[in-house]
Amino acid sequence: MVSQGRKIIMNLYRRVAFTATDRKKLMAGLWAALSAVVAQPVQAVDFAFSGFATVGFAQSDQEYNYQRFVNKQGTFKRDSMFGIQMDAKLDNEFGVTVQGKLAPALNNDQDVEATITRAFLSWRPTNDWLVRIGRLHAPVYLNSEHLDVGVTYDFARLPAEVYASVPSTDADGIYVAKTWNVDDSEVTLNGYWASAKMPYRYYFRDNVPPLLSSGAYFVSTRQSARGLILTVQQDDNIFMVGAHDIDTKIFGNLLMPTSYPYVNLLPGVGYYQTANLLPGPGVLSVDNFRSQAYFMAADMRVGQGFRVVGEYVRSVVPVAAGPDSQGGYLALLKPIGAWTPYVSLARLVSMSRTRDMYNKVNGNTLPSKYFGSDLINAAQRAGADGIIAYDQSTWAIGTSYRINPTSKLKAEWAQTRTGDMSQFIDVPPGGTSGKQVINVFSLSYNVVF
Amino acid sequence: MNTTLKLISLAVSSALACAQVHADEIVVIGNGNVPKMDAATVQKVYTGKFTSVSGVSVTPVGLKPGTATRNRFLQDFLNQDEEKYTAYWTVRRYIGKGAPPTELASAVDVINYVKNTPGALGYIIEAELTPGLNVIARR
Repeated sequence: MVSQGRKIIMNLYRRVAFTATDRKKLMAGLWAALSAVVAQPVQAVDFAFSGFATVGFAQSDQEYNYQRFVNKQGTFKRDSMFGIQMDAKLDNEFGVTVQGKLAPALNNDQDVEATITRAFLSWRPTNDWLVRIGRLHAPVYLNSEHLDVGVTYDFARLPAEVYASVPSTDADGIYVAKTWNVDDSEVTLNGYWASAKMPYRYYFRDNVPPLLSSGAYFVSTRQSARGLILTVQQDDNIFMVGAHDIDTKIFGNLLMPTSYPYVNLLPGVGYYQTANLLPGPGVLSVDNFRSQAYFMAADMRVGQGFRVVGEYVRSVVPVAAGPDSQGGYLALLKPIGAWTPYVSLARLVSMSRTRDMYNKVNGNTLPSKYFGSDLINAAQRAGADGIIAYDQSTWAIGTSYRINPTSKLKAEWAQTRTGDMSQFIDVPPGGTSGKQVINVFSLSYNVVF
Repeated sequence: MNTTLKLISLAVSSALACAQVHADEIVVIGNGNVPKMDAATVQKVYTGKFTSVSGVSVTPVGLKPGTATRNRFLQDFLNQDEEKYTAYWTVRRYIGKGAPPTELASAVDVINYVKNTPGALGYIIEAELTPGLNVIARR
C-alpha cells in the first residue's frame, strides 16, 4: 500500500513537476498579483490585524538538553514566541495575509529570530475552491497550520514524536483546496507544491580534533515537497489522511552518509570509517535524496464528553542515516468547564535498518592498545551522532485552563523513556542517548489578540 | 358579558405576548441585492464557508462580543456560544482562511452598513427593524 501510494505521488509529480522556468513564471505571477494589491486604493481594502503569543517555561530533571533547550535549569526558549498577522481583504475573491513571528532561530541555538512566516495571496473564485500562492505552513498534521498559536489546542506541547519527526515548516509555493459538502460532512482535498529552507540539527557529543568540536551543528537543506491531504469533518469530528513527496537537497560539508564501511584490522577487530580523513575505502554519502511521508489522524468525540485524538506518520527515507521512521500518539481529553485535562502516549521509532546502523557504529570500540584508538572511537561516536535515529516513548498528563475565549493556561508533566537512542537528546561527552528517562514539566500562557 | 370581556382580554394579552416574543426575535437583514436564505446558509456565511450566495458576493457583519443580540444570534443560527465561535475563527484565521466578520458597535451601525453596502448582511432583533429593510432570514 505504501509503495502504491508512492507510485501515485511520483506519477503526479512527473505530470506537474516545476521546472526552473515554471518557478520563475510562478514568482512573476505572484509578483504581478502583489503589485495589483499594492495598486488598490487603500480605502477599498479591508484590513484586519491580530496577534498571538506564548510564554512557555519547561524544565527537566536532566543536565543535558532535550529538544534543543529543555534541561534542569529550565528554559523559556522551547515554547515561547510572539507573532502578528495582517489580513487584507481586497474583495470577496482576493485577499492577502502576512504574518511575522519572533521565536528561537531554527539555524542556531543562541539567537531569537524574526521571520516572515506567512505571505500569500489568496483567491477564492467560488465557495468550494481556495487557491493560495506564497508562503504558508503546509497542512501536514492536524495542528501544523496553526501550531504556533497555542490557544487553538489543549496540549501544552504537541508531541515531538509526531510533530518533530517530519518537521513541517513555512514553505513557498501554491496551495489549492477543494471542498465538498456531503450530507452533514465537509470534505476537503488540499494539494500543495512548495519548497523551503530547513536546517537539520545534529548534536555531536565529543570533540574529534581536527574534524569537529562537540556541540550543535546545523546543516542547511532545501526541501521541495508536494502533497495531497484529504480531510473529512463531521460536526466536531475530524479525520485526515495525507501523502507527501519530498526532495531534500543538502548544502555544505556535512552530507548524509549512506553507509559507514567497516575497516578490518585483525579478525574481530576493526572500526567503522565515519570520516574520509580516517584510513579506509571512503564514506559513501549523498547530498540529496527523495522521501515520502504518509499520515493519518483522527480527532473524535467518543461519548461522556470525552475526546480522542490520534496522529500517525510514516516517513519513508531511502538513506539509512536519514529520518526513516514512524511515529504516532494517542490522547484522551475530557473538557470539564474551563478545564481540559488530558493524557497522551506517544512513540517514535526509526526503522530497524537505521537503528542497526546506529547501534553498530555507536557500540563499536577499538581497543586502546591500537594507535589512534581515541580519535577513531570518538569519530565513530560522531558518526553515530550523524545518524537521525529515534527510539523513544512519552507519557504525558496535563491540562489546559481557559481564562477566556482568547487565552489559556496550560500545564503538563511528561516522562520520556528512550530505547537505544534519541536524536532529541544532546548527549553529554562520552555519554549515550539510550536508556534515558527524562521528566519534563511545562507551564505556558497562551493568548491571541 | 363578563365572559366576553374575559375572552377579549385574554386575546389581547395573548397578542401582546406574541408580539413581545417576535420583538425579541433575531432577524438577519441584507442589502437589497442579498437573496433570502435559510439558517444553514446563514451559518455557512458567518463561518466563512460561503462567500457568495446565489451568485451574490456577501459580506457579513456582526456585533461586538458580549452583546445579548450576538449571543442569541450565535445560539439560534450557528448553534454555538461565544467561546466556540471565537475558537473557530482563531483557527480559521491562522490557517490562512480569512478573518472573522467585521464587528460593529450597535444595531444602528449594522443597519446603516447593510443599507449602504452591496452584498452586506447583519443581524438585529426584530424590534430594531426599520421600514424598508430586507429581512433575509429569521428563526
